[in-house]
Amino acid sequence: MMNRISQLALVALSALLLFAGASLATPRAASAQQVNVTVTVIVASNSGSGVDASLSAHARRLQQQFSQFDSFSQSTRRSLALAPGQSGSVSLPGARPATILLEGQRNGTILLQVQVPGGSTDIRLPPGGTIFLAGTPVTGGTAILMIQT
Amino acid sequence: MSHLDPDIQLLIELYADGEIDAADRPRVEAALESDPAAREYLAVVEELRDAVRLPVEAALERVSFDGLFDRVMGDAAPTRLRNPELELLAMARADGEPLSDTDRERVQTYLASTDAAKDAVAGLGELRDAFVLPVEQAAERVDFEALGRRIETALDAIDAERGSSTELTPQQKRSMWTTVAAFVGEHRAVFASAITAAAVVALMLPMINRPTADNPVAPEVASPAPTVINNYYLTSPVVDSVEFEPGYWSGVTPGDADADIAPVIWIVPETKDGEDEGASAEPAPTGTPL
Repeated sequence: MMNRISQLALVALSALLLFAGASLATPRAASAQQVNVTVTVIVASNSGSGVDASLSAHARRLQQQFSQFDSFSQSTRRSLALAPGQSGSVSLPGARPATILLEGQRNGTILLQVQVPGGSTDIRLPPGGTIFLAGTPVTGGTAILMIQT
Repeated sequence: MSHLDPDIQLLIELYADGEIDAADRPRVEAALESDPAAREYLAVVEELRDAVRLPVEAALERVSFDGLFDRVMGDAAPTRLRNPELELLAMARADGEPLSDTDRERVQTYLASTDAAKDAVAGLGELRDAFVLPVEQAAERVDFEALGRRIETALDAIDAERGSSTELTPQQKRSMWTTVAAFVGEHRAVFASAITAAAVVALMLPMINRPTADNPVAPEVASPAPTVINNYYLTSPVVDSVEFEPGYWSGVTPGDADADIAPVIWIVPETKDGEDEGASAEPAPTGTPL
């Protein structure tokens, strides 16, 4: 009788925990791994100077996705090795730096919180994913952060 | 774990929830001081409570369930106009899951032509966000496997102490179940809503791939529906939230994995007299204001 009750209790508990989703079986150790996040700070403007040679690999994407600008120059490029809970910063010309916090990982997905002057965002990136955070006024134009994993 | 009196178990649970009477508090604190089993039991109860309650309570703060079920089920619209497969695909697309060109076009056509579907997809999204995201966050913090083993060990140890042939008293039964029952009872509304969400899925899944008047031959589903809803492997970036300070506005330009277009999050100073502060003469960014 007692064993049956224990089993039922465990079944009930399991049901509650499984409600949380299949992610519960993810080993905790996996979330302790460091991940590399590359942040490229691009200054966009309409100065007529085109796309920096250092950004040639991204020229088509920048011109397509930021067609309101005609010039893109690379200000900074940093590769941050972050463990869960760690943050790194990237300087923005003439503005407060941007901060990137690794909130964790799940199923290979990287959870980041990015803070820039004026606000912050929580994002999830798959391995090899790219996302842009744009709009901060900086010296020479508008900052575009290209965040890659 | 050594024997733990059922009364103490119950009092520890009340203690963990901050609901213990002043008269009983010294007895619990004495047990916690002297008995490692009592401390272990308190740790398990607290860990289980914090693992789920805090994130789910936060989710409940954000979501209004009034009318949500009706929206999802589309009470106002005939069921024959609804296509569960396309609604699930629409949710997957909203989460950045890449769809084939054919599926993307079908989803766009469907949502554009069926108002009830738009409401349903939005409602399903709310249900998902209410539970999946906070519990994902909880799962990041808690080692559920280890917690489960501790609970199992604790319960088995108590069984062994009492003997399997011993008939339970009502008090013992109550104490044994309070670990689970008190937790479920305290969060009854949460689980009722979870059951609602499960019911929605259960009602919709059987309709997938069923020929309808609008789709004489139901199209193939790209992946199993539960996988699409709850457990898909993320292949595109997802923007969970954007917060911005007074004097700024924000918007998100969605990405398109198939077209190699990355999402763009905009956090931009509000304009004054048509000018961007600090970035004068720059064109306004495109995007959907949040």
